[in-house]
Order: sequence, then structure tokens, then C-alpha cells
Amino acid sequence: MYAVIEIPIMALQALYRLKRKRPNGPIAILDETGQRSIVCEVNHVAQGENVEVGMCPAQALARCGTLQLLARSLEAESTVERLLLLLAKTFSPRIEQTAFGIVTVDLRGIRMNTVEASADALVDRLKELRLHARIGISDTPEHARWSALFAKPVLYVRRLENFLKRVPLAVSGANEDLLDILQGWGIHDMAALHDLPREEIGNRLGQRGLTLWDAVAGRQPRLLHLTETKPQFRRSLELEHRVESLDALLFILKRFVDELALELELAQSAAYILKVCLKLDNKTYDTKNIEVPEPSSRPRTLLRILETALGGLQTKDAIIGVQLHFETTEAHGKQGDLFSVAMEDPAAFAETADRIATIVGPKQSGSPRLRDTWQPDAFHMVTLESELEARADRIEDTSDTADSHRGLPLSRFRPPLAIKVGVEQNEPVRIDSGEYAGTICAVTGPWILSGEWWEPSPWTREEWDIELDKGGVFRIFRQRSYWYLEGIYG
Amino acid sequence: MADYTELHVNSAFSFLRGSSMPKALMERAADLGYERLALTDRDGVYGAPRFNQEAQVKGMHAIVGAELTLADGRAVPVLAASLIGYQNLCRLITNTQISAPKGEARFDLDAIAEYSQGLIALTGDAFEGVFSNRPRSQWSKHLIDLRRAFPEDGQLYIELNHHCRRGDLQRLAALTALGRTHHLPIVATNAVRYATAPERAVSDVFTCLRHHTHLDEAGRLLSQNTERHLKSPEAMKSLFRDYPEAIQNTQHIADQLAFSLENLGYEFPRYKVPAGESMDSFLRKLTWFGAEQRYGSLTKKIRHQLEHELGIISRLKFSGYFLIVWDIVNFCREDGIMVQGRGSAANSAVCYSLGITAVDPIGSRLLFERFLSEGRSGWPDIDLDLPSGNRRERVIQEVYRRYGKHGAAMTANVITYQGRSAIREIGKVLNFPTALTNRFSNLYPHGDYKETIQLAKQLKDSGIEASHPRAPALAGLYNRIHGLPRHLGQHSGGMIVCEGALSKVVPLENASMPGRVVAQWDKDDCEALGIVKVDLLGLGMMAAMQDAIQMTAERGHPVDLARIPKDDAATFKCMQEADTIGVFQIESRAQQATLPRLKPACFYDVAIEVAIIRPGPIQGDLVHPYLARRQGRAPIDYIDDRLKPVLERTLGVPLYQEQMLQIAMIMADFSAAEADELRRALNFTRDHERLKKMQVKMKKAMDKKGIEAAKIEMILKATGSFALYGFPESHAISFALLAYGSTFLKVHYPAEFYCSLLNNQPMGFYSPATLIQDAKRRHLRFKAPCILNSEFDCTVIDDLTIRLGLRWVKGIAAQKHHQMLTQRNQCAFKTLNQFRAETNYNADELRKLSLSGALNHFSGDRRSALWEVSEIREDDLFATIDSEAIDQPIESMSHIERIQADYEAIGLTVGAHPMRQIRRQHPDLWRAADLKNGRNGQRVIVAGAVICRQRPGTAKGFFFISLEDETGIANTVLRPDFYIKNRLLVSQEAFLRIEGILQHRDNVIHVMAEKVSALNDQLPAGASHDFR
Repeated sequence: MYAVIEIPIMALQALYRLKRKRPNGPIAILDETGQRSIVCEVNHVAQGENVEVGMCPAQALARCGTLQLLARSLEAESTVERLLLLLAKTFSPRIEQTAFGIVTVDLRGIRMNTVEASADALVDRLKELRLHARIGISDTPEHARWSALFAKPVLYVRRLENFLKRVPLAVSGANEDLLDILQGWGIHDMAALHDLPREEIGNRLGQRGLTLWDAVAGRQPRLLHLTETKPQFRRSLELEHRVESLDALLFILKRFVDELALELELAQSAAYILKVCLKLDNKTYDTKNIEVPEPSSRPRTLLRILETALGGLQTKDAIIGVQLHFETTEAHGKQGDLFSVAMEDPAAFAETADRIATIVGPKQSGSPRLRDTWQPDAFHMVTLESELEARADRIEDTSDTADSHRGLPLSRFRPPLAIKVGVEQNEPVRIDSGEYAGTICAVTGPWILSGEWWEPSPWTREEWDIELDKGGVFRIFRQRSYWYLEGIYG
Repeated sequence: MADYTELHVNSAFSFLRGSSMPKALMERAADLGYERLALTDRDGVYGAPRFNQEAQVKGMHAIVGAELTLADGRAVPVLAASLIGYQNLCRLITNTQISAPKGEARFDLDAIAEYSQGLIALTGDAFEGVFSNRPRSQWSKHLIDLRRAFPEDGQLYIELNHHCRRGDLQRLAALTALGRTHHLPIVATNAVRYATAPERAVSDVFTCLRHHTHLDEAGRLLSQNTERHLKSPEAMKSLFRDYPEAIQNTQHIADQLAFSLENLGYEFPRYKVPAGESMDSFLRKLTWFGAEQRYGSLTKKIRHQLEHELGIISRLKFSGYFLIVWDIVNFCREDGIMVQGRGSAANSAVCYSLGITAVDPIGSRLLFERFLSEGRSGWPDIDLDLPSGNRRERVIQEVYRRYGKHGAAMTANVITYQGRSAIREIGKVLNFPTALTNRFSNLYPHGDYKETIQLAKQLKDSGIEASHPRAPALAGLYNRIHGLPRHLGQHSGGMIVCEGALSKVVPLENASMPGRVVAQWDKDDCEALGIVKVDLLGLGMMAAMQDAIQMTAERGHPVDLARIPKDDAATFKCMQEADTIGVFQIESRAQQATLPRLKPACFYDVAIEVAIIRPGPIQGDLVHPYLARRQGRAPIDYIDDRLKPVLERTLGVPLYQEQMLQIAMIMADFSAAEADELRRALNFTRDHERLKKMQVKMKKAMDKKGIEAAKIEMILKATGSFALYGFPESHAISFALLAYGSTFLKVHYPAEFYCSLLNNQPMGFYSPATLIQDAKRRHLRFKAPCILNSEFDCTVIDDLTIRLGLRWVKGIAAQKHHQMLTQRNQCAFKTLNQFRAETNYNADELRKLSLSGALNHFSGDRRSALWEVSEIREDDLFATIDSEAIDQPIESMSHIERIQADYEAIGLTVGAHPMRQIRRQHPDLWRAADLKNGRNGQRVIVAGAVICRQRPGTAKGFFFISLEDETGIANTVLRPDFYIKNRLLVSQEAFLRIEGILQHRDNVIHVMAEKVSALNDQLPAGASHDFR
């Protein structure tokens, strides 16, 4: 006896569950992973408008002008796949990830009178996770799968013969080539295939034909390719729309917590550190490591800790991606690595780093890295965690050795000093303000740098080397019409 | 005089390097006060003619040069000092380009040394020059290497750049010291990549495309600042104030660069005449001989005209040109290839006598001066129409054979960045997800719709909101890049040849197509520089007509196209009823809408019909006045009485270029030379400035003559409309010959006509499926491909039956069919097993043959064939023996399944039209054939397969859809706003249902659409022919 759990229109469901409100109207999911974008799933409203799977966006919009085209989210789908596998395991340990959104469960040895009740419970559990599933139960994996097509939401079929005429050949799982041949013969459903003599099928289609025929006839159950599931306790999501409020962020995190708590429960583990990593629109990351005072797997507890820790969160830019990762333990404590010298207590370190970040502000802590650009001193901050992970990934200075500037060393002001400069005929002639005020007696430049013209705020910088009549050689620069003293030569 | 000349400039013709067009660079140089400017495009002189042309306009000197990519990827600019230098440069580029795969030319220093005479070289810029990215310790070594290629004094200069980068001053000092050490002079350049600073962005985009990266990753591959624009001489002097010698040397070099493209040294090949003959005398002899053959008796008028033409040809030294074209035509005739001269050559009685053209210009009263006149500066156009495909390729290869790989070339065709290609490339560089740019391409498959949909809206529809931080950059770059050259293709038929080596006149390179060599200039460039071009144009219809004529001969009723009656009533009736699907030129929707109004009744009417549906007459609003006058609904008006002789034949409406030139001569007193200049301006589609200048000249002359303002305005408006492409009368008459001939074949030899059309696809306005439906309405029958009876091509079985050829079965290589046909000719196939054993079709191909019905002879029906061919056959001795027949456990195909199988296997059906299958389910639909019974203004609903979508630029945004059903074609018109609203629906759906108002006037029927929806009946469909 086998059961097949199927999440129909899974790409669509995976996206739906991320939305606060279930979207209305005609919707099609676009698969944009290949060279061409094609519709891979449609909801029933779109189906009613004759939007079909396999259409390109233009064809789909031609059929339905109000169609919403959504890009599929592989992350969201992988989460659903994972949840499906985990819950299927509550049915039986012998499970197979048969296809996208389809899991086959080997029920042999399980008492039938408990199976249907378990199936109903499983459907309810998935519903709590905002997933609609259907379950077919039958004697062979294939029959169970085809039964699932007609399940509302659970269907146990002892004799599938009555159903075969309603099962399209396309769901047989046979490859395109085989389907083409069969459809060429006018065979469009399982019953028609079953009516063909087995020997003739063998003569024409060889072993693959016989395998299919046997599957239809329910002759011999195939062996399942058992799937192992290892707990990951990590969820991430690239967001379709930028998140600009804590409320919206918490909505997503709540989903993650619910799912991860389920995983914790099934793995009999508890979380002791919650790692939140936010990807910002400016291509930087904001990371928070939050310690759980007492390891827990209760979603409400974990969510409350997250809400508290993120209460004062401010990011420099809108959030375009979220990751939540649980460090887990089986016990209430965690023993340190005996030979670790790098960091005795990562949790404490992370907490400290987190507190520093709270005090100095986001993007002000971490580790600076030079950017590959002409913009002088341009750098971006990387998190301490990623810095530790990727020390080798440094940018080497590839500037032309022949042309590189050799000269007096420059003692630099950090940050550069704002100054006022008198300009005549486009050249600086004096510094009008501050400690270094004076008349310029010699000047070279300008050395002009500009870049990132494609961004909303491109930069331009004009550097001059100057000598003051009262002595001293300096580097000054003008940026956005303000002058700065960058350093003193020598 | 400016005391600085920029000697190192890349234009957009440096493909993915420069970002300004040559014209823009020259314009900017003129604004900045330059008197001379060099163009040194990468590995070629692609932009030189345009650069030179603008220089002439601005009164400047265009210095010709190129930047040569060395073996290590660095590049040196070289400049042509003399004609010898230029010729050496062209040969050097040709030799290197031809010996390397396209786009991978690398110049060897030894090869450069061989051709360095007459060239001046610079060491290259700070970015890609000889010293770039090299330690100073190696500079001397590389300079010595380069010096070996340019050994003469004053032939090599050390190039100094100052781009306001930190380190530039040290580099200048080091290079100057290097020059002193090696006794080489220094010269300043700005290594220009763009005319003005804002174009730096495009340059950065090109850098990314060249390095296959995007802006976020490109880092220091991108330019450091915007300083590589064309700077004023004063700015350059200021930058190099410490190196005045470097500035002075720019002038010193420029003074030596006397060469310019006006003195190209081009000479048309001399024809080898028999001993004792000159080219003039031989041409004269051939002409008189040919004239006697053509005309029979030579009247005084004919003799006078021939003498007049021969005199001009001789004085202009064009005899060799005529002989060479005659020679090509002769080759075609001897090789059995149909050939016909088109264009203005048809105005020449000499061309007619030589057999180059088929139109008698004297009988047709054509103006010879449109073709050739004493005042003419360039070469006359003789374009030859040839059957497309292999036969035209044979002629092209014969020209290569005669003149050698370096003696003949196709002219180039510059492919530019357009809507989708521009967005795709820019999107890639701006690091937009490919999905978004793919979506743009998908949503705007037929172009960018710039007339009606704003770019911002298009981007938004593709998922790129205006608020996206990079949306402004995308839109800005799109406007800058649109129209810039992307790569070089080859012109469809333009060939140039030269006395001696063509590779000394223009660099040649390999075309993507094997066996073809292409020049670096396009046809306009060649014409502007006086290089004669012979267009060897392929016409599908000529191939079809030649095949049809051959079939008529093989079937025992030969047709000689030259002798068919020119007043055949049935042929004209066919035209008047717009029953012209498949015939040449007059088959389009617009032509069909005009035919019932114009009602051609004589051959000249056909020429008018051909000429009138052109962008020029349409946009000049000339069509309706002509038709109204023809139908007597409007009085005939000649603009001015003096123009009556010119415009009489076209009822006072100027339809032909010849008329335009004559009008200019009569009303503006233009000389022959000025008229020729006007002709060139009308033909020069790339730049309308030229025409505007001629219009100003005409206006001034007409004002001076005291011509009324209203008349002047009418004349100028007509001139303007011709710039949008108008036909010469001679060209129209040449095409009319083909239009008439093909209609004649359709009417009298329909089996041969349709059969040859199917054998020469793709061609024409309609798909093969539509041609078959049209043929069936003329009571022809088509038989499906059959493995026992079909040839590779379609064949005529009898006057009313055509057998489809095996070529129509999709997905099978021609070679397989030819092998099978050879086998079949040796021994007929008796059983399917024998057929399978003796042929090489694989299982998939056998399935395709079964699906098409080609194996029905063996199996009875397609399903049975599919079932039988799928049986796995053992390679044993008894394979050819039929196994015991087994009852088929599968059912035969239904009618609709057979139609579906037809479309799947051969892309069309020889059975009933798919619309017939659903007719009963849609009782409210009008059949196309019934529309003629509807009254004007009546509301109707039509539906059918979309066979053609058209949105011509002349139609002011209107969209035309032709819907085919089992009875014919219904033409529908969508207003611009209605089209935009339903754009995707009408451009994507294969079957449409359109409700609207019937417009039925003068036997022309249209439905003005008011509602449109898809016909979702899962019907199989062929491809629609969509045009812009």
C-alpha cells in the first residue's frame, strides 16, 4: 500500500503562502530560469481565461490582459518541498521525493485503519502551513499517484481500473519521446494504453514501454528511491518587493519561525541562537545573532525573542532578502570546541558585535573591504561572520606598475578636512579657512575621477596637489562642489 | 588655422569601442575649430566614407587611418599619408582579415613592415597602446620591435596622452625621455572615444560587452573619468603646455597626410575585347547587333537614340562597365539562369539592345537622363534580378572566380542596435535579470513601437518600473545606443569589382557566409566614393517563374515569357478582381485594396499599380488623387501647364522619380547635373539633409522664376515624399513585366505556377498554407507527400493536380530523401519492410513520414503506419519479408486529427481549412467569401487563421490583419488606439474573431474592427507572415 501526497500548483502555493492576502484574479507563474520565460503554472481564474502552461508571457497576456505574472521563487518552493517531506515522514519513514510537489510514502506494514485518519491529519497540518494538499492511497505507487488526482482531499482506491480512462497519459511520468509515440497512436489515457496487447508494446517500445504498461496494469509495485531528510534549520527568501517596515519583515519571519519550529519539533531539537541576515538594496547585509536564553522549539517563544531583538531595527536601505538560521542543540547548553582557539564563545562574540552595532549604528561595524573601483578609498563593510569565512577573498591591486604614482608619502586626515578654497581660472589659488589657510604658490592637477554614472548618485572627484607659500605640500579635492583637505605630503 | 589636429579617434565603427558616429565626431570637430581630424577605427576603415562626407560638408580634411590590433592585443594607430599608404593599409587589413576568422584579426609586425610605406604610425594610447600595462623596463624593447615595422624617419611617433589621471605627468615624462633615447618624436593625442563627455557612458557599456561582464563587476576595466572626448585645440594645448613639441607635431604629421578618400584611385575593370577592337567599338558593335535582334527594323528614332546613348557612354568612359554587365548577363543566359535588368538601366536603349533589360525604353518613352547624363558624377546603376537561391549564388561565385578573392566583394550592410537588441545588451550591462530583458523582447516581438508606446511604458510592462534605481540609466543609454553600428553584415546583392585589386581600394574581410568576401563599406558609401556596384539581386519570383516555365515545357505546352500576349483579358480580369495571391508585387493587402479601384486594363496600368503602393506616393497622399482622377471623380490637374507632357501619363500625379527630375528641370531650370544630384539625394535614404538642400535650391530657383507659391509648395511636397522611397518608372515597368508574367502563369498555368511557388519557399507575402488554400479555390487538388510517388520537390500530376514533395515533411534532412529517391529509382519499394530495410530513415524520421501520410501506400492510413514503423526491427536476413499481418489495435485518425497531423508533419494541410471544422459551432460568423454580399456600414463578425499582420510605417499606426477561412481572406483594419489596447492579443493569437463595421466600396472590402477576441477552438495553424 502506498500513499502519494501532492501539492497541486505548488509554485503558486509556495508564493501564496508568503503573501498576507491570497492574491485574487488571474495569476500565472513564470519560470524564468531558462533562456525563455514560460508560464509554468496558472491558477483556476487564469485557466478560465485560457492561459495555458508553456505559453510565453506575451501569449499569456494576450489571452488575459489582467493576468498577474509572478516569477517563481525557488527558495519558497524548496521550503515547501522540505515541509512536505518532513510531514510525510510522520506517516512512514520510507518516503520518496517523486516529483516536484509530490511525495510517495510506502505504507506497507502500517495498519490500514489508521492510514486514512493519518492522511486527514496530514492534510490539516499542511493547511495550517497554508498549503492545500491531496492524498491518494492505492496498491502501487503509480496508482496512488493517479488516485491523488481525484482526491478531495484524500482518496483510497482499491481498484483503479474504473479511473484509468480519466487519467491522462501526460501524468504517467513517461518521457516526452515515449508520450509522443503513444499520442501518435491515438493513446491519450491510461485505459487506452492498458487495452493494447503487452507483447505488442514490448515489440515496439521495448522495456520502457513494458514498464509503463505494467505500471498502468498495477502488476508489480516499483521500488521507491528513498529520500533522506537532514534538518537544516535555515530559511531564506529573495523578496519580490522591497521591505521597508518592521511589520512586513516580522510577517516573513513568522512564517520562517513556524516552519523551522516544525523542523525542530520533528528533529527533537531546540534553538539556542537565532541568526537573522537581511540583504539590503545597496548590496550590503545586515546580520543579527540573537541568543535564546533557554533553548526552545516553541514558535511563539522564538518569535517573541525575535520581535524584541529587532524592535529598534533600522537599516540603511530597504530589505530585499531575508535569511533566518537556528543554531540548535539537543540539550539546554552547548559545550565549546575543545581545540578551538579562534573563538571560545561565538555566541557571546556575536552578541557583543551586535551590541556594538546597535551603539555605533548599522554599517559602522564589521570589517572593511576595498572595492574594485576608481573611487579613492571606496570600501564596503562585510559582517564579521563573513569576514572570518572568506579572508582569502581579497582584491589585489592590479594597477599598472609602470604608471603607478610614486612620490612623497601622504599623511591623511581621517576624515578629510572640509576647507574653503579660492578658485581663479578653474584652478585653486588659496585655502581660505582653518588651520591650513594660505596662498597656494604651486599647483598640479586636476586629477579627475568619476564613476557609477548608472546609479542614482554618481560620484565625481577632482584632486589637486598644492604647495602653500607658507610651506607644505597638500592634496586637496573637490567633491559635489565642496572642497576637502585630504592629506599632507612628506 | 587651428594649431592642433587630433590624430587618434575611434568612432562607433570600432565596434564596441567608440561611442560616436563619424558624422558626430566631425561635426563636433568643426564646432571646436578643427580644420583636420583623423579617424582611426579598429582594424578597418569602416567609418571613413561617412567621415569624409561630413568633412566635405564642413570644408574640413578627413584624415584616413586605422588602429591595428597586434598579436598581443595591443593596438597602434596608423595614418595614410599618400595614396600608396592608403592602398598599403587596405591590403594589409585585407590580408590579415581574410586569413583570420571573422572578428579575430591580429596584425603581425612583419606583415605591417611589408606594407608600411606611406603610413605614419603612433605607438598607441595609454590604455591599449604598445606600452600600456607594461613595466617601463620593457618599453625600449617593444619600441625597437615596432620601429622595425616603421623604419623611415618621421614614420613613427611616440604617442602622449593626458587624461587628467594621477600618474599621467610621470608617464608623459617617461615617454618623452624614451623618445629622446630612441630619437623618435613625440605627438599628443587624446585617444578620443566619443565626441562629447556624456557619451562616456556608452563607451563603458561597450567595455562591459567586450569583456562579457556587467557594470557592477567591471571595476577598473571601466574608464576612470570622462576625458576621452574630443577636446578643443586650446584645451589640448593647455594640457600639453609643458610639451609644446607634441602639439606642434600633430600639425607636422597632419601636413604630411595629404591623402583623402576623394582620390581613391578606383578604376572599373577593363573588359578584354577582341583584337583590333576598343571597348567603345566593341560595345557599339554589340549594341547595333542586339538592336536589330530586339527591334527588327531600326527606325530613325531608334538609331538616333542609340547614337545619343553610345556617344554619352563613350564620352563618360563607361563602355567597359556596360560590357562587363553584358558579360554577366551572357553568363546567366548560357548557364540557363533567368536574368533581367531593373532600375534605371531600363531607361537605356543600349541596355535593352544588349539584352540586359527587357523593357523597350523608346516604346515606353522612358527618360535616358534618369540613367545617364553628361553631367553625372557617379556610375550608373545596373541592377540585375536573378532567381534567388543556388542560381544567384552561381552568378556571384562566377564574379568571384573572374575577379579573384581580392578583386570582388559584396558591399557591407551595417547592422545597428535596434529596440530589442539595444535593451538586451544594455540590460545585461546594467545587471538587470535576464528574465526582464527577455520579457521585453517577448512583449515587443516586432520592434519598439516608438511611434505609439513610450519607452517608459514598455519598460514598465516588462517589469522595470520607472522608480527602479537603474531605470533612468537604461532609458538614457537606450536613446544613445539606438542606431549605433553593432556589427557588419553583407548586402543582399550589391557586388563591387575593380580594375586590379579591389583590396587596394577598400579593405575586404570574410563574411559569415562561407565563400563570401565583404567590403568594409556599405552601398551608399561605395556610391558616394564612385565605386561602381552591380546589384545581383535574388528574386524568389524569378526562380519560381523560371521553374514554372520549365515545367510547362516538360509537360508539352511551353511558354515563352517574352512572347506572351500583353493584352490578355483573363490576366487583367484576375488583377481587377484582386485575385492576386502568389503573384509578383501586386499580391499584398494594400495592392489588393487598390487593384479593384485602379482596374488595370493595359500593361502600363500594371506599372502604375506597382509604383503607386510605395511609401513615397502613400505618404505624399498621391494615391487617392490618382485613383479619383482615373475614375473621373476629380479633374486632372498638371500643377502647371508646362508639366503636362511630363505628367500626362500619370494624370497629373507625379508617381515616378523620372517625373520628379523633369519637373525640376522644367520648373527650377535644373541642369542635367543638378537633376542627377537631386536623384542621388532622393536615393540617399541615410541622410535627409541632402534632399533638404536640394529642395532649398529648387525653391530658390522657382521663386526666382516667379512661380506661384502654391505650385512651389505642391512640387516640394511631392519631392519630399519621394525621399520616402519612390520608384523610377523604368523600375516599375521592369517589375510590371514580372507581375504581369506571374499573373499570366497563375491564370493559364495554375498547376505549374503554384507548384513552382511551393518549391521556392520562403518567398512572397503569403505562407504556403495560404497559397494552397488559394489554389484550391481555383479548383486545384493537392496530394499529400507519398514515399512511392513524390519527388523531393512538388510535382504537377495533371492540369489540376499537384503532388507535394518530400521536402515538405519537417525534420528530415534533404540528403535522406535524395538517397531514398536514388534507391527507389533502382528498385521500386513493394512493402514497408523492404522500404525500411533499403533506406536510411531512422525511427523518428519514419514516424514523421507516417504522420505526414507518406507511408499510407503501405499501411493504409497514418495511424497504422505509425504503429507499424514503431515495431523494432531485427537486422536479419528476413527483414524484408513481411511478417504476418496483425489486427491493428489502434483506431484511425479522425478528420481533425488528420489536419493536426498535417500541420505537425508538413506545416500545412492539403485537406479542408481548419475553420470548416468549427463553422457550425459559430453560426454568427460571416464567411470571407460572403462579405461581398454585405452592405457598406453593416456590422459583421469574421474569424479565421491570422495569415498576415502588418503595421506599415506609412499607415500612421493603423494595423492590418488578414484572416483566412475556408472561403477566402477577410481583411480587417484596427485603429491605432484599438490596436494598442489589444496589441498582444492580435499579435499572438493564431485564430481571431473580429467584430466590426464592413467597409465595402469600389469592390474593396474591409472590416473596421471594434471588438476582437481569440478563437479558442484548439485549431492547428500555420505561421503567419508578419511585417512592420
